[in-house]
Amino acid sequence: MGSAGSGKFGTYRIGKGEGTSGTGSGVGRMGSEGSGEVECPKIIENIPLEDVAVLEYYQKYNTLPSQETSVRLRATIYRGRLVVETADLGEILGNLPTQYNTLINCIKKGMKYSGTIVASGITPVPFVVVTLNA
Amino acid sequence: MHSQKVLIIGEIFIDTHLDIIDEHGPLVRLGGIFHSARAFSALNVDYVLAYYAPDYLEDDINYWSCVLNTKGCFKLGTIKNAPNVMLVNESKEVGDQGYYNIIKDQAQYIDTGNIDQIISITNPTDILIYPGRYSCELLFESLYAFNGKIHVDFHYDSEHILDGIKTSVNTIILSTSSSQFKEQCGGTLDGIVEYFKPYDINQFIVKENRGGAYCFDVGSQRIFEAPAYYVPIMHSVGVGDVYNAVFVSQILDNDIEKRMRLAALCAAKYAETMSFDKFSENTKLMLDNIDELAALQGVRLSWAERSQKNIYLAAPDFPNVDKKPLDKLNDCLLYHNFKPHLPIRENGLADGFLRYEDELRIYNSDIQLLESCDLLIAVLLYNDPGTLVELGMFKQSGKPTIIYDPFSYCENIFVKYTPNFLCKTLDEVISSTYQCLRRR
Repeated sequence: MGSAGSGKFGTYRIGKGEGTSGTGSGVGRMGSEGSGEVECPKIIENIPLEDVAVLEYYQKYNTLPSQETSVRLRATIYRGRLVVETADLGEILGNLPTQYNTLINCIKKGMKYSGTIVASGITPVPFVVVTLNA
Repeated sequence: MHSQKVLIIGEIFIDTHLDIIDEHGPLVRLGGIFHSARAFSALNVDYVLAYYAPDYLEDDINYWSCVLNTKGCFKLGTIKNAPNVMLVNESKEVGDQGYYNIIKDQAQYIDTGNIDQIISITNPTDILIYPGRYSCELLFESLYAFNGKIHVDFHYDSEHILDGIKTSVNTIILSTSSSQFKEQCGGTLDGIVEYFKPYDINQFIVKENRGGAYCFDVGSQRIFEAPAYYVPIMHSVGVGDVYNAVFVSQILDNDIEKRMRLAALCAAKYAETMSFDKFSENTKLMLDNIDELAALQGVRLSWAERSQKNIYLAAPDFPNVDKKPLDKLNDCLLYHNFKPHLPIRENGLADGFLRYEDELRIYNSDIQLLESCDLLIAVLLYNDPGTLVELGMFKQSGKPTIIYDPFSYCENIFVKYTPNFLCKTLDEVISSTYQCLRRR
């Protein structure tokens, strides 16, 4: 008759990180399925930005950049939030939802996130959805 | 780097995470005071361990304390007749974690070390005590002549811990996860102050789980608050102990609020991983960038505030439906001190045999309840029309909505894009609930 049991201390290895976050549904979500650890994701898809209507770009131009416009995650915190800005002039498009705050680690490790606008518009309310790549 | 040296006193367990499985089976690691040790090690703060544990763990404890750069590791006592193995059924603390200490009732604590000698040899500036079922009375009597700062984590097995105390305590650490906070202190600051009235305490820190923390400084009568930071958590075991370590450290001198923010950030980093190297690297990043990170927006929603947050649980809560996900969610929200409402259980079930006026009464009561709630969570046990109508009506009020879709029923675009958060797991629902209801 055999028995089952754990091996020993110190055998834990990181190796279950998904490397990708997002739902593809447009609703913000970043989490680990099951018990795997999430490392700095290589790609985060379909992030709906927050507070678009009151931030720099929309306030300045009363419109928003179109699909495929290049964007990047700013490397520093702006008014308590991580923000996504246009890649050319660095104008703020929107706040990254706070559930992505963990990316601050990745940024401080020297990683850079850039990507494109997946969807944008001004009705029913100004909105921007982006996908970011490390 | 710092002149501070912290003596940590308490038990050492083997934490066994039954829900985190790798090729070796359930994940095991040294717990108890080792959680704070990891934090001090990562912060480069000198610390010493004085512990109670079964003899069979001695070699492992000595080895791993060296790995964590301890300045001393002393055995205060042995535990006989029980292995000090803590089974953790649910690592993430979505709800009650179901800690199970194997045959704990037959454990015998036998003192073998001498705390006076350990203090004399190691000369600590601070003592951080994790009371257990060892003799705290004896310990506190021995600390009578200690001139440094004493910090006590007032936790699970610590009902009568302060009985022998004759000296002042710098910090009493409380957690909303502990039964002491709820039962003996009534879950309020007034209750805390009243309970600890006979003792000389300088400050209380109350950790309010995913809703942040507050510190009450008795001398100045000031309250300091700081948020918690969301991360995709892997576990929450020992996370509070990491918070303790950062909070009692002298890092950031007298800036209590900033230190609480650092503590919350480091605790979040501990929750993110089971790898000490990764935690250590991330902690150093937090410390190096704390001036910038202290401004980061987190989640602040106190224990007391949560009890005022009414949450409408829209679901087909009918007799012939398997309601386990709904019941579990309801339990988890109650555990976090929210006020969930199950309309059918509160207002009645319209089963088709009711008279017109009774149906109307139930409908109007449900609408009234809907309007009085701060958040709606739609639980898709299936695509129930009533649930989806309630979701749409609530959305129009401008208040936040969450869909909990454990069985992946959500395909329709109106359903998919209506909620603020679309969640597949309970952990996500609880995190999203905090996000939706946090202070703005």
